[in-house]
Amino acid sequence: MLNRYREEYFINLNPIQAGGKTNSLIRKVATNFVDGYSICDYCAGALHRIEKPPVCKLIIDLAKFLGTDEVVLTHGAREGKFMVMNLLLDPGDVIIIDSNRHYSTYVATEGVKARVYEVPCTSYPYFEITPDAYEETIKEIIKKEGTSPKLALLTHVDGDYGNLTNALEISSICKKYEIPFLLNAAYTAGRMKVNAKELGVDFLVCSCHKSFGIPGPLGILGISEKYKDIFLKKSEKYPKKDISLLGCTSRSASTATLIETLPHLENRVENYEEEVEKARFFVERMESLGEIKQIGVKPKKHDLIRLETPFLYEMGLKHRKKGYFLYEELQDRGITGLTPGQTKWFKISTYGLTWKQVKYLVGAFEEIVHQETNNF
Amino acid sequence: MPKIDKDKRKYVDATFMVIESMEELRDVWRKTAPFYELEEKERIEVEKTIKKVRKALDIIEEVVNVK
Repeated sequence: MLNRYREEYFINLNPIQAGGKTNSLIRKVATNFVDGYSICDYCAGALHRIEKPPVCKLIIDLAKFLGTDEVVLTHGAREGKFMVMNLLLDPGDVIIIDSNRHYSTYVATEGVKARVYEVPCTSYPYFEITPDAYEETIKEIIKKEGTSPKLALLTHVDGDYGNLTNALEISSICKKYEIPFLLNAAYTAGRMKVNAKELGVDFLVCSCHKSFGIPGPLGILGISEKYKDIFLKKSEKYPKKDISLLGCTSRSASTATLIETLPHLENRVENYEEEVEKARFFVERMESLGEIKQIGVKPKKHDLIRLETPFLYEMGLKHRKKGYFLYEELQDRGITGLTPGQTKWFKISTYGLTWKQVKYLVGAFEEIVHQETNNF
Repeated sequence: MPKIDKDKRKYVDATFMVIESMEELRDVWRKTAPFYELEEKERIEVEKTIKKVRKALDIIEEVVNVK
């Protein structure tokens, strides 16, 4: 039988998994709705119309929580991005995206045959996407193409450096040039407060399995009033079915768990500052070990941390276990989530760990570094 | 056809009680990994869960004795 006890055996640092860890309440609901189509016991013709369990209320409450006019459930953030591109862009149209974007952003642009302009980030070690660079790239597009891009996409927090971008300022720039603005909030919505209206966002995509503490696959696409009709267009033959959603999307336990977790999300996002504090504490203590450097904007405004650790790489070159020594030393201390063999740099997240676990984590790294320095 | 006896659903209810209680225990293991050193509050929580589960298992066991 397949099993996975990683979250119970270890402190798991994998940043892609940190915000999707479930609590018992969510797992109980997931177990209750684990059978295929169990959310559809009282089907009302489309997922978002189901009253029992209250998916229709979920849609209304989600829109309120995220500050969007309309909300649709998708299978993930990437499906939301693709849906927006698919409905707004024709082949050959120009899209502007940030260079810290997730690979699925680029793949989605290929899917719709859009032409891509990337906003460059600042140089090492910050890799920041600035509003100035965003505006400069728009100007460059207008100069070359004679017209503004048809769509602008910004990654709210990227998965490489955990940099939080200035969505409000960049959305204002996009408004100035009349470009519809799509914010990829996969790493933010569900962790921190994200309000589409306050940020001036036309489209907001969220990943529930990345940041809402529930199982996937589940995403949210928030749509502003202006674009509602394009997105919620119904089938002529099946008038209850949305064309862009092919009728229904996530007909699974994950939708039930989203209903269960939504009332608790206000509290979750209110605790975000403490999560950032944990990340800053970890960075500070790691950097104090010497030859360890946090990459990305400082101080941290997000829990995803990238550290550059060249001396661990040097140690690995001479170590019996080569670059795998770090992974194995951590495993022996009940810590996992790093890529095996990776020592030059690594990414982790402290999200959701208790302070006791964060302090233990720091102690474990300190111990490994001292032990290996002596051996070295 | 005999009528269904809804009282017998207690076996199902007790089964879910056990499954769900185990999920609560998983929370304790997750929060205390990798040493599982419980604080007083967690110790009380685990004791309560064990009692609840024992009671539920007793109910499930009744079905074995039904002839």
